[in-house]
Amino acid sequence: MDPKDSQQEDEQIAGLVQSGKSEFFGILINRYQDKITRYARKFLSDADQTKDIVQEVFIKAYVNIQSFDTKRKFSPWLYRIAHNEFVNTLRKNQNRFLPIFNLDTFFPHYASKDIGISEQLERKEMKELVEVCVNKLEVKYKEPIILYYIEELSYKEIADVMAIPVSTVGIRIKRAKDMMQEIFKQEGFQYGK
Amino acid sequence: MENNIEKQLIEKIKSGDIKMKSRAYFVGRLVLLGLFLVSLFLFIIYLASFTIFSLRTSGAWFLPEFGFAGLRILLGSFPWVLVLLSAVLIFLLEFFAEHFAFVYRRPMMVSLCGVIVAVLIGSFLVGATPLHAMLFASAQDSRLPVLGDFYNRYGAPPIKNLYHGLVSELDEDGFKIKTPTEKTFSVLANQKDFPSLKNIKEGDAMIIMGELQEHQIRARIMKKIKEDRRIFKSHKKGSLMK
Repeated sequence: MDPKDSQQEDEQIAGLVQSGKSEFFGILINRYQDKITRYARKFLSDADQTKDIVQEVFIKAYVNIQSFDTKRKFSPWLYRIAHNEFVNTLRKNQNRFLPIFNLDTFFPHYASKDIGISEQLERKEMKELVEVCVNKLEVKYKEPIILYYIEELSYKEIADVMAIPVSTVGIRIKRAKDMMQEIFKQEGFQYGK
Repeated sequence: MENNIEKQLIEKIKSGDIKMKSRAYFVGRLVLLGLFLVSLFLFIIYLASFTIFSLRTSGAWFLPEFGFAGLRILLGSFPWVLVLLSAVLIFLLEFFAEHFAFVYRRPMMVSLCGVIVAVLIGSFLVGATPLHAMLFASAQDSRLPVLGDFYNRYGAPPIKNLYHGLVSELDEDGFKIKTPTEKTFSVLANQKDFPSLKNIKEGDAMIIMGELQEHQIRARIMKKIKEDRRIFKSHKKGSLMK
């Protein structure tokens, strides 16, 4: 079978790579290259550096593929590697301390839960708004909102990518939306919350 | 240009420039991390139970029974170094446990509280065993290598004007006590100031606050306490030697 014709799920393909069929890793690169590049561009402005980082993400994914549990979803696992790469690069680029610990991961939050089907429409509208003003947000708010609205990961998956509590994901997305609303007001736009 | 990434990586994989790590490597790493966390957890329990043991042998455990004056002495004599060390180790445990999804998916406060509750339960369970009393007795007899100094130093730290022990003898001036460190003191107390003196008998555990003058304690306050007798070496020998 030509790997390129594969209709299999990501997890099945990752399983094939784990079993030694390395050529199937190309399918995973193909499926995720654009997504990881888009995700990287939200954090890194240098195009060359972005390309290097994306390449590094896939190298690390291949090197560590045996640590992937095929019973779980592949995309959060890959985004987790990307997240770690971006954090390390931002630390190097900005030559500043990015906190390992945030107070909002300490306390439980009950404010926000993952949205239901009825709110999917809002999700589509939000996606457009996020594209416009996400760069004005702090990294800790920017990342969950990108993963949620642009990359369409669930709260639980975002929690796995960022290694933070699920309730913290909810509260950060809520705060990010509030901040974006403020930004929109300041710039003369309006949107329904 | 972007498809180059796929082509370049597949070529590097085929040529062996990029090699995947084996499953055994990740399993081994996980097992080592698990063993480290379990060992750390057990060590924290050991340390916390030792702290409780140390409070009991020094008599500080019973100070709240003397009201605010007792509480003030307790705060001043508390083994804060051990408590601080336990706290640092609990944070270290939490830091490494954050590797696991079942830990990081919950707020840190929840997992920290869980660890603290588990440590407290574990330390009380260990405290109910004769472990520390045996090690302490061995240390006093200089039969405990490595930990001997630790037990001798922190096992029963003296607290000024606080004495704690088993009544070894009753006499007309009061009674004699034998402390967990095998020291004998005469306690000066009379029926007038301490009407409950008539109820005290040999073998009772007592806590006394008062000034020490030439092996005699002038009791200001004293109380009969319920104490784990295993911390008293003299009790283990089966007699209260004078």
